[in-house]
Amino acid sequence: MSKTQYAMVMDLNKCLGCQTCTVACKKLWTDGDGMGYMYWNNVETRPGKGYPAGWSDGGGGFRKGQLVPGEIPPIESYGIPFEYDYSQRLFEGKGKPVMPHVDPQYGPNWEEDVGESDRGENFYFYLPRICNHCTHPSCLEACPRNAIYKREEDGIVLIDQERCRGYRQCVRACPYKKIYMNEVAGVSQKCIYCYPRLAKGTANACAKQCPGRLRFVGLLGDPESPVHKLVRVHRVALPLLPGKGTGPNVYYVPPFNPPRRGNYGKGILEDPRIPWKILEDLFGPPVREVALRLEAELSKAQSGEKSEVLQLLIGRDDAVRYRIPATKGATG
Amino acid sequence: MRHARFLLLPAVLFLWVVPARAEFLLVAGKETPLLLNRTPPMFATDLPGPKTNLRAWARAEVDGKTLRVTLSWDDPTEDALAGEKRVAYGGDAIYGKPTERTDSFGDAAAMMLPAAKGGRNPGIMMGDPAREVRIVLWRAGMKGETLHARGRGTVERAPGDSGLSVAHARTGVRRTVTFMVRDFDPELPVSLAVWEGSAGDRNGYKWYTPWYRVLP
Repeated sequence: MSKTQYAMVMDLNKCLGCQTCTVACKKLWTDGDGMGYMYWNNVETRPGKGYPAGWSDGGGGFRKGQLVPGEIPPIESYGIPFEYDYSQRLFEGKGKPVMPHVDPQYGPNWEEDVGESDRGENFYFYLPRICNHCTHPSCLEACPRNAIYKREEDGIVLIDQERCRGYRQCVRACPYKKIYMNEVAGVSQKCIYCYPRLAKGTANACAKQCPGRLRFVGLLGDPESPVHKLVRVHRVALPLLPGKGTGPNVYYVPPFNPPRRGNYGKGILEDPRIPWKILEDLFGPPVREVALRLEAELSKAQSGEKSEVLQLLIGRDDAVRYRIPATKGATG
Repeated sequence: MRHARFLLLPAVLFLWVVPARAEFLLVAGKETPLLLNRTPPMFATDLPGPKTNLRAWARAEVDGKTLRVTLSWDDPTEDALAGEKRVAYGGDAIYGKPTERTDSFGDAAAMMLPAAKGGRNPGIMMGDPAREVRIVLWRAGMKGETLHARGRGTVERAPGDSGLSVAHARTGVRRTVTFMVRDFDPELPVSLAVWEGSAGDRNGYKWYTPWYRVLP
């Protein structure tokens, strides 16, 4: 366990699904050989299978303190990365529309791409995901090469690219399937929490570029950091799949989940728009308490009182959203 | 004294049934079938290894102080990481490349020997903290590597000229990997290992032999 721990809070009520974070990360870190299918940051539509498809059922994490190795997702569950064959149109005079070189069967946000729904109810939300830089990383535990380490100074989990030999025990062990094999380089790779940017006092690329201003960054133990306030003081942010036992350090403010229209005054617990099971499967049973807490804050604001939580969640500028110590700072 | 002849038969039978010393030998110039073992599961939830039994042979040649061990086995599948595939396809063939598999593993073979002679043999799984081992590794699609280790998880690339090298050839389904040791000391035993990529073999999932003594 590290002395301090960087954490990120993502407010799902503000996510537009625009993928600006995805592109910011992709352009910065994963546009090299063997990285075509890698999205260290991805945004998936929920309900949906996610990226890779069915990742939450792929095993990994800990059960009763014991490591649970899971599956290595095949490339098909990511969707085969395709290229557009411009040469046919530009140089070979075929005159046909530019098409992908393979028939796409899946992709990073497939449910939105195909735009299908058979639920009969119109509800959905976006779930941005990065490596959780867990407090008890199962990837670190599983690596037979001791190539994965958690930095004591800030809790960021990294893969030593010199020690890694591509055995993929970490891929099996990660319950979030956020480690990717680079077959060309022969090593596994993952989100590095933009540690070189943090060292310069700049927020992670995904957070900094987010038009919705939904990401908050700071040290969990720093009482002045927004993540400390949202997670530990106001208690409106929850980790993803807490039952996997790894202690994830990315937290989510769940959807407000307002009552459906025309429900004639029923509360959110009686007539939720998003079925509670969907939210509980992702964030655990405490999601109901958080929803009630958020609803109470909303009522407070609507009645003219000041809600410190909602003011914070608006996240007007960088100084509110990010608190990045220049040197070793607060304990966490 | 005249009763001693009655003791002869049991003594002969005992020596025949219980050899004085079980030893694995690679006699120079002789093709030797290897005793191959499967490593135990790394995690309790691991599936059992492949059901087929791998059969492999080794032939040692000693020339002065140079040892060559040629390991051969039948491998109908060609399993390599993308590096070799890219070469085979003539570079980065975007529109045809079936690369970027996430769940495939490459074939490999290795020979290990103690870093120093004398005393007990090092642990068969990459040596142990008190007994370092030297390893020469061939991996499909990659260059040969020379390594050293003191137990599981400690493998490092050997610095500088290690005196170890490897070459690979393939004829039909038969693979041959030749390991070479310069300045070989016949007192040092060797152990061989094979990884079958199509069976998901990598790191601790492999076929391995006990220590074999080389008879020049």
